[in-house]
Amino acid sequence: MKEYRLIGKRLPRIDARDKVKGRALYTDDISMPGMLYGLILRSPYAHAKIVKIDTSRALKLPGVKAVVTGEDTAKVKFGVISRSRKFIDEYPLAVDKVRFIGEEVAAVAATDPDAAMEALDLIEVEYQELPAVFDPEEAQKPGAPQIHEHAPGNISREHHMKKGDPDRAFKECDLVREDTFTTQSAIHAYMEPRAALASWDLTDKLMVYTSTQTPYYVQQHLGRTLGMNPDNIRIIKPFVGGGFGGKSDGLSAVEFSAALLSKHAGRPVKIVCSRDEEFTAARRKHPASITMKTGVKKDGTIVARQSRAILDGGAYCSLGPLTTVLMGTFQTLPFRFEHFQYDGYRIYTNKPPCGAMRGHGGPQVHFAQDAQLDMIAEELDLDPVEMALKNGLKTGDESAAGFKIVSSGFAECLRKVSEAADWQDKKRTEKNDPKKAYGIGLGCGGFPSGAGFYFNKTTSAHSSVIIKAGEGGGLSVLTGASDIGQGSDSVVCQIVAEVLGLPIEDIHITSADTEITPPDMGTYSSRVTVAAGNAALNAAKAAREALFKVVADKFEASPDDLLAEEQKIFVKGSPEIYTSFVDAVNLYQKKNQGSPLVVKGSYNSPDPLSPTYSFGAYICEVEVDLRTGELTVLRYTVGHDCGQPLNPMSVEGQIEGCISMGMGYAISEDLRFDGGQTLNPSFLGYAMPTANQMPKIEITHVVTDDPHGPFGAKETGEGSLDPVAPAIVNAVYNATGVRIKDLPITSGKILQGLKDKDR
Amino acid sequence: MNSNRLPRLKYHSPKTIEEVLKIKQTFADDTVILAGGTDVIPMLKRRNVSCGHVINIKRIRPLKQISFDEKEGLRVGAAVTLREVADHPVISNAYPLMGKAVQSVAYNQIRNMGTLVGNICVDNKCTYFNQSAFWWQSRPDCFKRDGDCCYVIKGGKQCYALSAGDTVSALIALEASLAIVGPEGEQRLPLEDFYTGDGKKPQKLDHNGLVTAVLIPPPISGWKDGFLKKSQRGSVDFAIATLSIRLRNNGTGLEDVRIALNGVSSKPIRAKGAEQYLMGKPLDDETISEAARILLGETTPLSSIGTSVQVRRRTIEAMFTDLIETIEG
Ligand SMILES: Cc1cc2nc3c(=O)[nH]c(=O)nc-3n(C[C@H](O)[C@H](O)[C@H](O)COP(=O)(O)OP(=O)(O)OC[C@H]3O[C@@H](n4cnc5c(N)ncnc54)[C@H](O)[C@@H]3O)c2cc1C
Ligand code: SF4
Repeated sequence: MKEYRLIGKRLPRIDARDKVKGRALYTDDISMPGMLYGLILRSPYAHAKIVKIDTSRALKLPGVKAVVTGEDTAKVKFGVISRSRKFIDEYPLAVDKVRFIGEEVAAVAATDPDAAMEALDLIEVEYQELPAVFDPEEAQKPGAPQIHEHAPGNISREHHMKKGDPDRAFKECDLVREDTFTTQSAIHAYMEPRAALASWDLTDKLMVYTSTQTPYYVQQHLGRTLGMNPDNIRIIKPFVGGGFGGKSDGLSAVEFSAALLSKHAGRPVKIVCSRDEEFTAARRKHPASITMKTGVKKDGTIVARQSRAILDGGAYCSLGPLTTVLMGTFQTLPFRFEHFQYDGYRIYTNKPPCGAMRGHGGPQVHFAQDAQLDMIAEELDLDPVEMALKNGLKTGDESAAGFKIVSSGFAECLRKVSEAADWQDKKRTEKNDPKKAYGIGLGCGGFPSGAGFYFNKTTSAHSSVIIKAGEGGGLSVLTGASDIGQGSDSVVCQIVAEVLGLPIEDIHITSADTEITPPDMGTYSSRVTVAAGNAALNAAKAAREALFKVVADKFEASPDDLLAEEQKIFVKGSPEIYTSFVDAVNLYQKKNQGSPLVVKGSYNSPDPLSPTYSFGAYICEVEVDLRTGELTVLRYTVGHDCGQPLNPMSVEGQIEGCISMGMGYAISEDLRFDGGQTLNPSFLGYAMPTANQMPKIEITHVVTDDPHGPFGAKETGEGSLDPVAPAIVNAVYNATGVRIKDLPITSGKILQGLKDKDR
Repeated sequence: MNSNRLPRLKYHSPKTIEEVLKIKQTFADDTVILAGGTDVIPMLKRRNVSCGHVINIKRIRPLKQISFDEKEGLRVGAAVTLREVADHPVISNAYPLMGKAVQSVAYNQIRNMGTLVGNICVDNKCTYFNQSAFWWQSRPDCFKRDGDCCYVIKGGKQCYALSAGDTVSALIALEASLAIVGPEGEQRLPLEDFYTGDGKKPQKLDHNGLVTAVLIPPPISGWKDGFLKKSQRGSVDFAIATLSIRLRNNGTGLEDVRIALNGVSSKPIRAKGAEQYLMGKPLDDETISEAARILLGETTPLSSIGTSVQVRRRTIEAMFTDLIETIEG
């Protein structure tokens, strides 16, 4: 593998110091002269008609400058997947009806937050309660309350896929297993709650600072819902404190209400959600019930898979229609089988809408798949690692859902982790302590490095980067790709600096400001490193080509013989013949009538599914207290193939974050509902793992040189999550003989399982 | 969603105990004491308590003191923080049980602000009750909110909210008492008797009273002790149970023993049944498991989010066995 100057190096993030010292400005840190504080009034009913809203008392409260309701809007629905009209189902402020507890009904803006809060209590809403439905099975029954007129049977989306002939293939299998797995409602719990600051100028142009993963979509959807040309809207993404899919809906009531209030009040308006609001009303992960049937040969070869998934969608589409598809396609990674059928149904219920969350359907189906394969391995007396090796997708394979694998380090991941974790010996650990049992389990994953399509109709490239050279040797890099904390700004700068032989400090990035930066799909689907990274690579190459041309003329050399390194451009083999980078830029300007060096690069995925896929194998070790069911996660041994890690520290950060999130999903994070109401809307009630619960983590980077990724890089932000939970599930089984098919693995379920086993 | 806002209230910050009593007499049950505020401020914001007058007691000098006397024992003033208790040399030397219990409360930030007496006076907890005003718009009020139903025990006739302070079992095992000052002067009350067992109003303290200190008798040699807290995620969470044991063993059997728990019922439990059973008995596996069984009968664990009754019961048993074993080395 080639050695690079910056690529593959353990470099600190470009914004690390600012963040650590509190200098980085997030939306809530930004203020404007005359700014008002906005708040949103939410529905206390799960399903109700809005009979009347009286805002007059609120408006009379001193300090209150604007109150808006659905009646003040253009009554245009939005939906992030705007390619299909069926998925555009939500008003940014409720019109006529509310469909979940927490739905946005009105908004106020006042000179101080206290007045705004008081005003909320003065808005009088008359509701007429409607029968509601909370369970996706109930919602499909005849006579169930209809949540949307356009969706009979409350079916929000169904998706069917078939390859080969699974029915026939099952008959030829030596073992066929069918199991039903269920998963709970989990939420992103990003560190920074959603926030937006909106202001209008006197030419009716709108500017919005917002905590989003997708500034371009926000611009488009705000334009649509406000009835204005999106080009008159400027979306600025300042520093963002995480998203995990929770800020990728293209629009939220937060941005919309801030904009509308600001219009009405004639002053800037900032809205910052409280943690309660986030837990109560923000998007979340789909709870799912997955019935999976897998057929194998005696030697463990997987032949066929048939599965059916019911997704509890909540009250609106959000990104759920896509989740419904992905829960089908993602279960075809990282294993090969020829016969496949999937039927997915997303059902509307009167609960907060479910959307994308890190892994986007993957964690649910990988839990099912890995748990089931573990059971199959046991029945056939096979080693799960050997069985995974036998079935893993290899370079050149195509998965049953059509994923074309152009590089796969999966087998190597498996071999490395089983050796590093001492798998063969440990899985035979004796269980003779009546108090405590030790267990070890495997989880496997594979994930696309970005989807290859926009959710709206556009002719824009998936990612574009503009580079503009300054006179002092620095470069401005403009990208719509949104760093939300995952570190994409650093990676883009690293790529540009590498290509042009500059120190990373000379690269100045703007991401993202729709007035300045070119369109980009945004941060989701694990696409940024590959897509924006490639766009940056292309732009940097274009800059290099332009500079090499003028320098080559000067030295009467061929551009092919030039190299850019250490802020110099020189002739290969004759380092003494060089021009400094600054001089080259100025030479370029001189040769071009003073016109600045501005270049651009774009990237479109060559495959609408994804250009390439990451792989991973995780081994988890646990200890279970057999008396109380208490579960302690001891250690993870991770093998991850993200192609060429551009910055191993960043990759490790993603893996560690995924282990924390995956552990929460496996053992304790669970939004509980009663009558559509979230019962634990707080960090005390929603038990995310704490730092002292984190296990030891040992990571092996399996380096593959991917043909599509920039410098051979692939994704790591989402694929790393999928194996985490099933590895714990399998380890718990290894320890106790209790097979958990229903997440999360609570102590209560372990105790119950132990009791059932004794019977 | 007005859950972030403190209600309109008047803030008093008196410098003497007398002033506190005067304010209390004037505004009666429209007052609330603010010590570290880690419990009461979130409760005010969520409208779990409503009152017009908040009385900060942190500026009252005498309440900020920890004093120790070989004869009188230890006195911790009502404005002393958990951090100050944990860092005090007398506590680590003479009252290690108390030190451990204090360290188990929440996390550093809470211990820096929260007081020991505040921990003793902390309101009972319930996953339903401790929600915002917005949240409560979606359902009828329960007993603790002056309504007439309970969501934890469906069909229940009273409030079952759980007693929560993590230091309380240790203090009861140490036979602590409270100094309470009211219009009639100072009164002493054994800590055990401070709790009512009613989830709705868990403490015997009327609006006239102020706890000024917690008093602990001098340490006696020959006792061994231990403390355990179990919660869903380690220390952040309120406990599934806290358990404190003190015992004196003469080699052939137990001469004396104190067992106290909290988090397992609407009031802290002094496990007298288990204590009696253990007296004079040697600590073998059989006695320990029988004692654990008796102990369990003295608690009323309830199911809550994340933790079922079954888990709570098994956890209490296991804690007891483990703690006795560690104490006995
Ligand atoms: C996130 C979080 C986690 C927590 N985790 C734990 C935990 O793990 N274990 C635990 O035990 N607690 C926990 N708590 C609760 C609380 O922080 C602690 O119990 C703390 O010790 C309370 O002390 P304080 O001084 O802050 O009390 P305050 O909030 O000031 O007061 C608590 C109550 O006692 C009353 N009061 C205080 N002083 C007096 C007095 N002198 N006389 C009469 N009444 C008085 C107040 O009026 C109020 O009702 C947690 C709280 C939070 C917010
Ligand atoms: S236990 Fe008490 S606080 Fe909890 S729901 Fe019942 S009555 Fe309300």
